Amino acid sequence: MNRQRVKAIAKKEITHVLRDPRSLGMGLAIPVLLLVLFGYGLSLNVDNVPLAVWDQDNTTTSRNLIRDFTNSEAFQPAGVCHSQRDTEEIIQSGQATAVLVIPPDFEEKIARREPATVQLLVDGSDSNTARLSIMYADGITKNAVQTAAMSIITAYNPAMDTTWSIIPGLIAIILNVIAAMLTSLCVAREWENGTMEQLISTPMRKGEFLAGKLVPYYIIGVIDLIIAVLMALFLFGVPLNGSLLALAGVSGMFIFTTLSVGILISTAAKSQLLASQLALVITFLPGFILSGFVYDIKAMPAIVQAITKLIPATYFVSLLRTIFLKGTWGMAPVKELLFLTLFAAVVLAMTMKKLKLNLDGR
Amino acid sequence: MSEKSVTVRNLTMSFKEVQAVKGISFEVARGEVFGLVGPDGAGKTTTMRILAAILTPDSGEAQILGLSSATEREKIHDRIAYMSQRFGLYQDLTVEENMEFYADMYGVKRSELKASMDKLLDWSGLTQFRSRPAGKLSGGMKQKLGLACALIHTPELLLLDEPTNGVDPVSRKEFWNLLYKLVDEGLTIIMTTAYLDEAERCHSLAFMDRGKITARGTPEEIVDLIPGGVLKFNSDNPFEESNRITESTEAVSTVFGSQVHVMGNIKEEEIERSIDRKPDIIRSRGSVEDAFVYLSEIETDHG
Repeated sequence: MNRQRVKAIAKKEITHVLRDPRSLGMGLAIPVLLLVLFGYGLSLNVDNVPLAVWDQDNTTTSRNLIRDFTNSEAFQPAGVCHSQRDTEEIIQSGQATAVLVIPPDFEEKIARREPATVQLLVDGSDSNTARLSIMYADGITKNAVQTAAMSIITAYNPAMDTTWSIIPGLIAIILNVIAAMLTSLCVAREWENGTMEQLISTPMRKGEFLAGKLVPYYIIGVIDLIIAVLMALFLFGVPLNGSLLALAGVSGMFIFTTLSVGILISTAAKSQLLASQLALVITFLPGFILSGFVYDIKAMPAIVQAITKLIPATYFVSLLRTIFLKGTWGMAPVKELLFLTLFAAVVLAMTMKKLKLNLDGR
Repeated sequence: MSEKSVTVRNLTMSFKEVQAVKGISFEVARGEVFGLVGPDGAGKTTTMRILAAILTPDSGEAQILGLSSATEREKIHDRIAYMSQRFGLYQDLTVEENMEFYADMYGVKRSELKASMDKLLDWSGLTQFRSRPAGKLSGGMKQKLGLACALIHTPELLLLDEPTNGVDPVSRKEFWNLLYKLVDEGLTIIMTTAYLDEAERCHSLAFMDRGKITARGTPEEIVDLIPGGVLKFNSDNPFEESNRITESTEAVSTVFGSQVHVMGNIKEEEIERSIDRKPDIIRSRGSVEDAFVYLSEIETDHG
């Protein structure tokens, strides 16, 4: 590895980016724009879900729980039920979207420190609202039970503010796409402009070429990360409960992984257009749909769940949420970091194999 | 060390169905300008890419500065310079930045860079454009910059693929003056060209047509390949009379302006008979251009 050559390629690459407003925009402005748009637009909070109540217990504890529900911003009282039939009718009529059913032995069980359950009937026709209502209800109930001195640990995001859980995932998705898009152009461009033929006639080696290409975009990726984290903390007010070091380590590895994916795409595709479209499809779609960012992985069919385990973004989304909101490493983060490292290694090995510094077979 | 800079033996190269190079052999001596001349699609660029060790031939071998182009690519790349048809200048980098980049790629020491860059800028007349982006240079200046970039690591062999293609005549002349200066300093140059007036400027030539080398030698030797020299006469209808000659005789005929050139062991009387008049016919030695027209015509007739 000749450092002079790596430096020369990296310097040239940075100059390209700095002198081309479009790639500079893609590298720095688009991530900010996406974060603002999605951060505000994709807020999954639901407000004032009409909630009916069937209180079979009718005790102080049950009434307290109902008060907790109706006092929250998520629910508003929408009626009282006295029978199973009432609950069905009130949902059918659309007067309520959810019904909270408290069983007769609720207070008793809590007093005996036994697990107490309440039931929530939800109108599933709007699955998103339904899912969120359940999430909210779950949170409120657990909070209530905790005040009743039950030994339940507070779940993350106690305020149930989805912006909090969206932003870390959003950072993951944006870095995923931007990093891959950035590098996806950088090899294809050399072929398209005819500069590759000149480059391969120099004593340059494959490793020098790849290193020179990766370094500048890694720097851009890290700048994007810093901007995104600052926006999360100060614009959206998401708390960073975990350590900054963990955040830097995990993100650093992830950026490297997706840059590698981009460079592999760029090496395999012969045109910039094809490369950038491939990069978008390969990183954005799985990242958005299968990473657990929007849809809950646990709710997916087993085979799709297996696929999600092969997508780097899946690990990054969950790690970022863990670091931001739980403040712990979560379960077995070493495994996830190991996966990202392995993934990058495999992708780079494939790139080395695919990259040809000659015109053979062209 | 051998006196040959490049030795090529039985090179063949195919792309899918097309055989671009069909078993060519030639040698290039140190310190000469060797021209690979021929029409578009003759296989010149393919040959140059093999010589530059960026393309592996199907069979045959090329020894570049005593190194095998198949197994010692990197060593070759250290010591030669290759200027592809579309020289890989980065349009958004300035003249100086392009030169610096290639200097770094070839491992030119930073301490030596300034001096050799100033020298090359001065030599190519680009000093006043040193901060201009390469994309904003004229065609001729781009070629000069390409050459300057190629020379920044003082190579022993310079490979130029159609360096003057699309460059105006004045710039072409300047470009050639630069090449001669390099040869005076001991550099070996191999170039391809489709311009036959440029071929005459080379020390040694190979005429390439449809993947084969049909003639080799100095420009004089190539001209001598026309048997009996060239018969020239002026005509008011040069194309018509030229056609009549080729139809009624075995000779090869071509038109230069209002002049008809006839080649291939033909007597003055035969020309007069085929065009039904007695023009003033001058017999002369001919030019490289005549020779290549003659050689490619014969090749078409027999091949």
